[in-house]
Amino acid sequence: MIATSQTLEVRRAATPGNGGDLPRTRDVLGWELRRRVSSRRSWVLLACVALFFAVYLVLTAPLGITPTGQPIPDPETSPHGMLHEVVVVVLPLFGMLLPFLAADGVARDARQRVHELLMATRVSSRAYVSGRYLAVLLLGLVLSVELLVVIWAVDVMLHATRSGYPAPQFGPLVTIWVLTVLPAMVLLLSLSFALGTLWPRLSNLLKLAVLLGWIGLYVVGAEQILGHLPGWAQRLDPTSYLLYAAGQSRAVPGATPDPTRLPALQPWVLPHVGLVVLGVALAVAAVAGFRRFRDVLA
Amino acid sequence: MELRIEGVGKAFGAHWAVRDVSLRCDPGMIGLVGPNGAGKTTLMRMIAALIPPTRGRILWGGQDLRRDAMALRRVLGYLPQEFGVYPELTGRRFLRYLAAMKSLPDDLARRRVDELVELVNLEGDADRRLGGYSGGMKQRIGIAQALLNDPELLIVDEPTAGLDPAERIRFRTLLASLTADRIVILSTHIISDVEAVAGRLVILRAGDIAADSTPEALIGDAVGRVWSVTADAATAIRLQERGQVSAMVTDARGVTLRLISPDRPHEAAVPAEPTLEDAYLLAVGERAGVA
Repeated sequence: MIATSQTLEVRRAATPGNGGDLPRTRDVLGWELRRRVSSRRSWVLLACVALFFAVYLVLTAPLGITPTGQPIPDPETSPHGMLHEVVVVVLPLFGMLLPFLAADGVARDARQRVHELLMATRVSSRAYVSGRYLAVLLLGLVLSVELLVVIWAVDVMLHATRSGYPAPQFGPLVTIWVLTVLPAMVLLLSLSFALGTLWPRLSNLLKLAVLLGWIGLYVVGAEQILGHLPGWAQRLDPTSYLLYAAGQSRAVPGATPDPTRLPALQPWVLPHVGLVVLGVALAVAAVAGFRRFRDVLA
Repeated sequence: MELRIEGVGKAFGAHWAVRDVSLRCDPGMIGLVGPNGAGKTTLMRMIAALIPPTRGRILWGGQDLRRDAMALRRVLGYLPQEFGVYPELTGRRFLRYLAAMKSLPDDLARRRVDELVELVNLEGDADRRLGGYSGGMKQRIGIAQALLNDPELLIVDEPTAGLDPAERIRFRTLLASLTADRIVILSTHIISDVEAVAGRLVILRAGDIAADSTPEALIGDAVGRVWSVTADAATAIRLQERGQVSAMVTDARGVTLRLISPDRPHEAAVPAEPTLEDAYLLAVGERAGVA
């Protein structure tokens, strides 16, 4: 029978040391990326995100002049305007997208009923979960870079088409993006991924919980929640709204902030690195706590 | 190559899906049958190291699966009763994905996938996305993935579900050809599949082993307990209520029933040659519906 013609070769290959070592994180990551690239949904998502945010940024940017004919005080293409654009306009909505991107990184296999096939293979829990986490993280990174490009493109367009918008500077935009979008992305992705991985049956509920928590930070206000804490703790605000507010309060009460300057970013660096570390720690907890879908199979 | 199951039980809350199962399996085909809810799928998941037993232990090559499940996974081929696929991948890519997860090196995986695609009759469709596959085609992909690593222990749960009769026989024959140097555990509701290929039959009932024997021995046990009787409709209904009916045919002469009973159920009943299906019904003590 044809099925046994490669018996020895296949069995020998599965032996450790003969190229049959356990699948590694990079194998899982590689195949997950191939799967995502093969999926039309991934491309549609990328296109929709770019289109939505481009239109949204254009629509929310003030017209180039005030009703009295004066130049707008804080145009979106100035450094301070970019901070407003990223932190107040873009990040809240981008953050709402992330739980849906990450919570099913592992849980989707259970929903699609592929989990039983996968868990019967030689892939270790560690390689499986960490590979999936890296894939989710990479996807989040691609989306956030796409967002950066969209913001830049819209700012260039605003400068070219509307009066009162100075030429955007790429350096400050990247700085703001690295300091605000990246930590929030890593934290939200990791939290959603970890919860969905540890409780795959509840992943829909959990992504909703993360989403509501994120919205809650804006509705209640980071100042209300974190305002009474010491300064370093306030800087752990993943929405970065307090960073934006710090820029506002630098100005004399009643006056507008200097749009050409950003608030001092240095004190925010370490706390936001802390958010990234917290995100990675959550992913590590998911790797350690993953039970190979035993609760689903039971 | 030996699989030993020692006093294994599995509880979900207060409910014991598997109570106390002990088996020793050597190379060959074992047919695992039983009514719905008998614990077949739970037992197979425990053997495949997917869920741990609540009590007892399962040993592969003398190693307890609790301590070293990887040793089993290296040689395991597993086809669950219900499984999904990634609809965005082609059949060939999906198999290569699982081959990678079974640690087959790339070049060997490619050749092995080509071979298995041919074996399960999917050469023409292997490069199509799985989202467009029919149920039978998906089932054949499932069969192919179970054979990727040329497993020493092959566990297949309802493998012929969704296959047309020709494919079913083809797969049955394939399974039979694999039994010389491996343990194959075949769970199915189709008794004729087991009868055709299994040298050993394990019948589960309510989480316990109701019978562990050869098909021939089980049929032998049923001799003298299977009856055929042709009667009018009213009598047929009475007989159905009193005993197990394994078949019923209505024609111009009346209703011909095939009954399973330790005693002659009716004065007109004559002994009939038992089949494995009759023997199975006898072992599980189940009242059958109308065949």
